[in-house]
Amino acid sequence: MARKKLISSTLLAAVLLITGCREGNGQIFQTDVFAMDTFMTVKLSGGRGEETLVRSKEELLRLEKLFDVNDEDSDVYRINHHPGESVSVDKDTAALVQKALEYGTMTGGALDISIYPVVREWGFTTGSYHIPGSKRLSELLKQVDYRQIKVDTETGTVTVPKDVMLDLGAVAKGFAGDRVRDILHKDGVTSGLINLGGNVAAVGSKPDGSPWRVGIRDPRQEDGTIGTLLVRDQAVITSGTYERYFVGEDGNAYWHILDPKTGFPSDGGLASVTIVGDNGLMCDALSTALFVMGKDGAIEFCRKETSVEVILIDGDNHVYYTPGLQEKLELAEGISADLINREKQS
Amino acid sequence: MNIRWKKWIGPLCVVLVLVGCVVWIICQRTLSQPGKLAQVRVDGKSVMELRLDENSRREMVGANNIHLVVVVSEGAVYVESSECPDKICVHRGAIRDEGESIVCMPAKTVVEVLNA
Repeated sequence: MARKKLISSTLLAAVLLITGCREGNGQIFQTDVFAMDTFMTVKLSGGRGEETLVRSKEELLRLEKLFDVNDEDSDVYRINHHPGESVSVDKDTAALVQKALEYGTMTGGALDISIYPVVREWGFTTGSYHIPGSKRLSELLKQVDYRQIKVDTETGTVTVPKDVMLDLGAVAKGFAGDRVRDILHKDGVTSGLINLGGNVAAVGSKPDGSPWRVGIRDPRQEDGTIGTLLVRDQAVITSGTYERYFVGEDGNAYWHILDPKTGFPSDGGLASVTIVGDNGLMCDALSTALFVMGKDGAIEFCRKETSVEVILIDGDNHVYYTPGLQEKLELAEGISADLINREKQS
Repeated sequence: MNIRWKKWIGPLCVVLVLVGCVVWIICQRTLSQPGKLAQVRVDGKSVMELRLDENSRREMVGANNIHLVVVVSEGAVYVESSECPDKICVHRGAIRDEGESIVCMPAKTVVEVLNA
């Protein structure tokens, strides 16, 4: 009997040697999602595996259906096409509009979700790009003022006045990334990476326990990076001139991040803004807002605001970063950088 | 019989463990044999895998009935043609390094270089 047990356990040990170690490596689950006009990937290890992926994908597609400005069935479309009416929307839409308005106030209007008519005029929503005349832009800018948007999160309604239209494109991906992170956390995933078109939300660390390494794109080179950021459980969101732009008949490049004050692409000396923080929605909102503020305005903002960490890259590829990234940002060779010192809190 | 078993049981166990180790090592080496392939996915589902060490040319249909032609040549893969409106996938050019990808949004198609 003992002999049989010995033989059995030896055979079992051999089998475990063959199969068990591969199990120990941890299976990686990954899916592609085409939503919000962006290619997204969700990658994870552990949790409920495939089931978690399916739920993540469903959530991204559900949020797209709510926020798509061109989809006649979306909440945003219905809000825009029923001016003056109190439009009932999904609680997520109401919550996102509310937060976007708060970030509008926080940034002095640098983030303005009512800029949609101007963005549409430039052709960024359709791909039919053209440079609008200044008279047309002046007319459209009269309709741009986020403070005219009213939201009631209790009743789940949003109201815009006549001619005011909203677009949640500047905040939707940050919100969506947070939602997927919540799903992964809830399912017990300890290692996951959500990439929403270059906007990254990290869950935990890499399967081997080391931090995720996120490349910060070099605005001048499509496949180049200015450095690598080490993150755990944080969002890393970038807005840059290279993301969506066209070259006009005058030979100049026009990018999609527009200044709500002028209606023209923001040209404050920055090529990209990367925000690192726990709240992906806030990171998304601030990446646009700081880009609009321009280099000086963004640096000034960073001195006071301590809830996020920031990487600014100017037109000469010079990097400015906040103190919280000193141990996390590995700059590539030849990249010059300055630290943004924060104001002392009283 | 019992004495014979007792005599052989030790060496037999050692041999079994060694055989297990050898099989495991062979499996690991075979499975992780370096060699790249291009995985083609449509809306997240793998529809084709092409070895980068063999030249090939494949016609395929992506989402929204968009036809594409994927070519492997000299260790790199590229989208030769696509019926999509913006042709960003075609303009992306050839890729060869692990982790690089070509994305065609209208066809919901991704070509990604993986290690076999």
